[in-house]
Amino acid sequence: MKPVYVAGVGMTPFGKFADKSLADLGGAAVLAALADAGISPAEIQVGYAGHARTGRLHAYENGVGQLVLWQAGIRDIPITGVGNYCASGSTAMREAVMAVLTEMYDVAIAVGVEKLSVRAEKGKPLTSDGMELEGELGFTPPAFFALAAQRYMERTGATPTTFAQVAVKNRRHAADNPYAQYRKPITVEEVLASPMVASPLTRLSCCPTGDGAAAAIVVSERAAKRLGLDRLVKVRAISLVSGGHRYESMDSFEIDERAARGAYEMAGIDPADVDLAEVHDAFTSSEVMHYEDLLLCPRGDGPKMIEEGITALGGRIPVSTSGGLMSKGHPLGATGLAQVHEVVTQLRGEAGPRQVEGARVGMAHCVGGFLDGDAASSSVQLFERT
Amino acid sequence: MDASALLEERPDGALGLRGSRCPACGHHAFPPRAVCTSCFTTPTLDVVLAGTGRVHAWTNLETPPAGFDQPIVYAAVDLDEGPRVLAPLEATPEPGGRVQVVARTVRDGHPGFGFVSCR
Repeated sequence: MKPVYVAGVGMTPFGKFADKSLADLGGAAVLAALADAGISPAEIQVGYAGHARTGRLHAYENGVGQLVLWQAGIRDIPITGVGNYCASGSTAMREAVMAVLTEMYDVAIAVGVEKLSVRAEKGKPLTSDGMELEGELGFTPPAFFALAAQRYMERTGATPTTFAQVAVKNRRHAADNPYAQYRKPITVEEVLASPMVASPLTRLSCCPTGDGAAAAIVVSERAAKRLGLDRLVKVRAISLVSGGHRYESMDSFEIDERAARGAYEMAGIDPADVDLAEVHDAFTSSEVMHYEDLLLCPRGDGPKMIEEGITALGGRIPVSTSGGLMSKGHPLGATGLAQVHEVVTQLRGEAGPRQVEGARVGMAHCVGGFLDGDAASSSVQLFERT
Repeated sequence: MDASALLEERPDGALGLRGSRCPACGHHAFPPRAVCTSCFTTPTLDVVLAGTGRVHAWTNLETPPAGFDQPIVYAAVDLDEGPRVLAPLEATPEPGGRVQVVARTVRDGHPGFGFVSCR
């Protein structure tokens, strides 16, 4: 892959903001990314906006990119909305990188934004697009991932306590992230005692819904020189795959392994070289399963990764240093770009108390949607310090 | 979507599920698909699946989606013909237990289907 860099990142805090619109949230993230890069809005040549639930909740199935970028003075350029379930932000990032790779553009922006707090079904899990028959029969994302967790427990001997440690770890990481939705420490006992959603997943085993936005500015080597940009982080892989119709054991997610293998191959990077990872920890059990799917450990070693502190800050490969979806929050379309925000912050050595010492290579992993017994999309991106 | 429209009586009077079978490779699909999901042959043949299978995984869905008043047992059922169905169970299953389809109300009290244990 030709050299492509992240020149700036920005995000809003994640949470529930009744007085903030999509435009307010997205605009703030874009302005923060421009300020971080130190460039003017006029330098942006192409834009992509990830959003997943804005049609149903805000009557903005299309046009979120134009709405948000206009707020920040970015106008007259090609702007495209990108929908790919929970991986919409990651996919917008991928489009921005690809736009620069074509050499048609050399400064691109990706923004992700979501405002879920206006949902009518408070206290009920989100549904997922396209799951009409399944939804009629009781489907929810936590129900699906609980089924997978049940099979995973059978295969590995993981227990609800194993999974609960993920919620505790990610909350501990979030305590030092000013952008995180939940920062007050929790205990394993509290996670296990919170109301059951779908066994073995309790409420504190599931990520929250919320509002927020994040953005990243992507540049070519030529643009970096022209604009005098420093603090660059190199994009090494933008792997994206689709799933569907794989009736497997459910004790692992084959789609994520395919996405990860694609990323490692694209980058020529070995899984052992990854220094930190933001993974799609929508559920505690999923994070443990993803350790294996993303080849961060051998099959069967997922429980050991959390139980021995290997994925905690200070461990061999810290996972979800931002607090992850679990504690930083999960405003769908914003999530992939918030992951890029964290990885870039870490690789620049600017993560403060949650800094991973000597971090050189970081991963962002995001999964979206469902199709015929499988996840619908999986994105794995790799970044490297310059 | 009317889930109960996928229920159909079999010649022997038992309740089955409407599916499709590929004339080329024999692969079954549920719900029915015009294009085979395995070898992509089209058209496929409409069939009534036996509606029997085995529980692959299950969970106590104590916080069900909007439209369900009560917790449900929720399962991935592998039908004998091959397709996997995500649907409610009437009760906690025996490990590896066999189940068969039954009519039951689902979201918002709509007619639909679920599974019960059988021999």
